[in-house]
Amino acid sequence: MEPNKLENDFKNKLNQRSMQPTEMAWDRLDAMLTVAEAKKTKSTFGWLYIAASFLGFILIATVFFSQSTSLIDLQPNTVVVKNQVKNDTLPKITLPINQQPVLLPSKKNETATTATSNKTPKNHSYKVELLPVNGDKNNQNQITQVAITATKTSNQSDNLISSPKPASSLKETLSNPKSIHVNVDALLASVEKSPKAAPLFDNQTSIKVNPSSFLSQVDGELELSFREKVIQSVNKNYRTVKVALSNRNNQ
Amino acid sequence: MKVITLHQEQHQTIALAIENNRHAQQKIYTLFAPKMLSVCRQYIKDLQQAEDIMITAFMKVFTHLKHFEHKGSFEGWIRRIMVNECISFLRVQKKIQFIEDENFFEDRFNDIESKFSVEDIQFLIDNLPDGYKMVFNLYAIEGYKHKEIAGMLGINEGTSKSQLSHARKALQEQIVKLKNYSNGTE
Repeated sequence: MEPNKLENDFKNKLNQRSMQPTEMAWDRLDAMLTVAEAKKTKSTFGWLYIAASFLGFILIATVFFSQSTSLIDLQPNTVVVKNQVKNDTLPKITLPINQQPVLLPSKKNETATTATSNKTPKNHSYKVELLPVNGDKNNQNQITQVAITATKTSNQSDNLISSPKPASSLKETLSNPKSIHVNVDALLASVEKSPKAAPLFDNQTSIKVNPSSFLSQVDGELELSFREKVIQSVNKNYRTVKVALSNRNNQ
Repeated sequence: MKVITLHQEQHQTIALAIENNRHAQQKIYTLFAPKMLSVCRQYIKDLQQAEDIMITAFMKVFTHLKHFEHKGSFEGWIRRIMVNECISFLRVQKKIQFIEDENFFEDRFNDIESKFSVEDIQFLIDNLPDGYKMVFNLYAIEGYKHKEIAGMLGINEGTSKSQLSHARKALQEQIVKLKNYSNGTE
C-alpha cells in the first residue's frame, strides 16, 4: 500500500499549488486577533480586580480588628479604687501640673470630712500616687494623673502632710516617683473649696460626646458579646460531645 | 549563509508575533496563506468555506505560537494545524462517516499514467466521498501513516487502509471516465 507514481504526482502538483486568499481575509483575521487580545487583557484585569478587592477586604478587616482591640485597651485606664469601707469607686482626679493642690492642716480636714461625707472614717488616710504624664512642666495643658489607691494606714496620722508646701517642693515631689501619703479627705475638701479645681467636677461643665463614635463603640461591644455567645455555645457543645464520647468509651 | 539568515529572520518574526506584533503576524500570514488555502481546499470543496477554515486555523496558529518549539519546520507545524482544523470542521458538519471495513485489496493504480493538471487532480479528489477523500489526502498527499491517520480520525488502522483502497478504486474509475470523456468515447 505504498504511495504510487500517480499519488506522488498528485502530491507534487498539489504541494506546488498556491491559492491567493481574498483581500478581506486578513482584515477578518486582524479583527479576530484584536478581539482575542481585548478578551485576554480583560481577563487579566479581572484577576487584578479580584486581587485588589481581596487586599481591600483584608485591609478593612485589619482596621476593624485593630479598632476593637483599642477599645479593649481603653479599659485599663479607668482607675479602680479599693476602698476599705465600701467598694465605692472614687472618680479619677486630674490636676494640671502647675496647679498646686492645697493641702490643709489636719483640723480643717476633720471639719471638711464631716461636712462632705460621713461614710469615710476620720482615721483612715489614703495613699496618693502622683504620676506625672509628661516631663515637660512648662506646658499649661499637661496634667498629672493622680491615682488614688485606698490603703489602710490606720496608725498613720493626718499629720503626714500638715502644711501646704511651696511650689518648688511640690514639683520635687511630683518628679520623685516615690509615693507620698496624703489625707484624702483633706485633699477632697481642698479640691472642693479650691476655686481652680472646682470646674473639674462642676456639673455644669458641658461634656462633648461624639455620638457616632459612641454608637460604633456600642456596636463593637454588641458584636463582641455576640461573638462571645457563639464561642461559649460552641465550647458548651464541644464539652457535651466530649463528655458523651468519654462516657461511651468508658462503657 | 543565506539559509541561516532566513532562519534567524523567521525566528525574530515568530518572536515578534508571539508578542502580538501585528506587522509580524501579517508577515507570517502573507508568507503562508496561499499554501495553506491550497491545503484547506484539498479537504473542503467550497473555496469560501476553505478560506474561513484557514482564517480560523491562522487564529489558532497565532494563539498557540508560543508553543512552537522550533524543532521542526514552521510550515509543517502550520500545515498540521490547518489539516486538524479541516478534520474538526468536517466532523462538526458530520460529513465524515466511516464504515468499519477492514477488507482491502491491492490495486493496479501504478499502471495509470498521470498527465493531469492540478485542477483535474482537485476535480478528481472533490468527487470522492468525504471519508475516502480524507484518508486519501492524509495518506497520499500529507504523507501520514495509517496508524497516525487512525489516531487522527478515531478509527481502526484497518479501516484507514480499506478507506484508502476504496478511494484508489474510486479514483481509478473516475480517471477512466475522464479519459474516455476527453477522448470523446463517452
